Amino acid sequence: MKNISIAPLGDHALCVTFGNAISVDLSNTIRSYSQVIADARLTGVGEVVPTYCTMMICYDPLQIGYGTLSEKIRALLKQPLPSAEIDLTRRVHIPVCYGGKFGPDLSFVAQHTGLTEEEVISRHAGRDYPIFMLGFLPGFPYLGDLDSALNTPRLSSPRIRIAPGSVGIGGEQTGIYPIASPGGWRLIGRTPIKLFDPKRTPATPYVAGNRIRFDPISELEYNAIFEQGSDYQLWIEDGV
Amino acid sequence: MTTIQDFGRSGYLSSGITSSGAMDTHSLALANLLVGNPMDAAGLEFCLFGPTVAFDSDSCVSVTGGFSPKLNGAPVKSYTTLNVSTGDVLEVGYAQSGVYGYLAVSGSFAIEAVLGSMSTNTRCGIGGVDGNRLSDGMDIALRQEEHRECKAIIPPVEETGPLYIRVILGPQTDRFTKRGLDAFLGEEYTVAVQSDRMGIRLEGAAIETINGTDIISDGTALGAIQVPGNGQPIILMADRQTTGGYAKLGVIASIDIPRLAQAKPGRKIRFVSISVEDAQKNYADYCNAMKRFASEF
Repeated sequence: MKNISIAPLGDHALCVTFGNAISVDLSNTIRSYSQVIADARLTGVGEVVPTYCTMMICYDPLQIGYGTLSEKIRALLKQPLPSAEIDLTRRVHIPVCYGGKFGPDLSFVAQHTGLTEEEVISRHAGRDYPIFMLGFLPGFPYLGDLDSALNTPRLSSPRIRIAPGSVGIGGEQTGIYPIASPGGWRLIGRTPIKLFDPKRTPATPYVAGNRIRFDPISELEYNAIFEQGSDYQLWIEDGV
Repeated sequence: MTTIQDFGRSGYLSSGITSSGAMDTHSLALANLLVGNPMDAAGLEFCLFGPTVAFDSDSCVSVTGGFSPKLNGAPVKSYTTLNVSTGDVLEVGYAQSGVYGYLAVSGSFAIEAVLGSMSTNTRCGIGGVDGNRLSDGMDIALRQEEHRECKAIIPPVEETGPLYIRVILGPQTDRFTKRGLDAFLGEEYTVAVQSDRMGIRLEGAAIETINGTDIISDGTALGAIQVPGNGQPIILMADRQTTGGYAKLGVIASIDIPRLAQAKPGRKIRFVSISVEDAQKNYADYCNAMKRFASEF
């Protein structure tokens, strides 16, 4: 693996940087190498967390120091590997009510991008987004392939609380907040579905490698689905 | 807010489930040692104001942090083993200093671990008692009913003046100007009131960037210092998000996390850069010292 850099992330983790762009190939590579490192079962190494462009490796500094560990990681990453495919066979539909009280930043995104609000919605919905990783919060899907015309920078002062189910845009990324959280993304809509439910199996209805599609719904439909709670059946397509 | 916390939940960051755990693991460790528990056993954590608990059996407890507890109305010492009996009422009250306090019970609580830990993650609704903060009238079963030999620890002296916190710089220092880095290491920052278990928000000289602080989201470590566009640093703590999209200037050295957790709003902070090697040596020294200390109990 060429051109990787390794840096400390404090004294209990390190960060391996593979690149600086969101791409399916890069994401596949990182997930594959994460498995290589996990399989190596190095002494002192804990969780290996793959993200879009980097890998965070958690470790116990009492068992192995930064210098020694980075050498071992570098050696493992020199090995060539076959890449895992993103699972192209499952599409999970997420109903979203766009704008209004559910999407307070929709007009800002429209202004920033020079599109009408309707154009923002039609470009955001009706398109497949591969799930690159889950992170930030349980069930939070990091999605790829946002239409570049919709890129909008994050808030410079993150909101203290974002309502669960909020759909947002942050820079070149899009995703959904599955539970209430602080956050800096621009909010354009909200889903009535509970995306993380520790009492349900599985707790989250998708995994890294699936694809998500947002389906616009009205406020009336939003309320109806919300009332159904866990009785609501998500529309999931397999083999597409 | 009072929750059950141990040293946290590890291995689930890839699912977006953060570590949670005690904000000040050092004070929890001391509370546990005083009642004969392993240092990382689950205890009660409270913030600025502690709970009042009633016992319906013999038990052995301790309170650490800057609190002045009362047993049946009479003041008792924190940092001391307290033997209690049926009908006794322990009132923790307001913090006299610091922010977080701990109540440990001999044998800890008879609750199930969730994903390997008893720590409460209120955002996810897992751990502790039904993933919630503790509320009035709740009963929590204990594993042991016993009295123990009383021990005492000299309480830590409250630090006055600015708190010097050690930082390992990186990994996105290249996003900041020299002036920005100099401000971070040279100026005083003040702990803001919006600080909580997710993060300590600081106010002070804006940290200047070359071209903004948006990055492609990557992993967050405990103590990571994120700088959003307004230049005001946020230090990610126990209930932090597992990934984040603001550039990280550095990560607090592990041994300084407990000290930072105890900094009240209004407290002044100054940052000092250290190497990862020095930080790891300091951490090893701390662990060895705690092991030796524990063996005296």
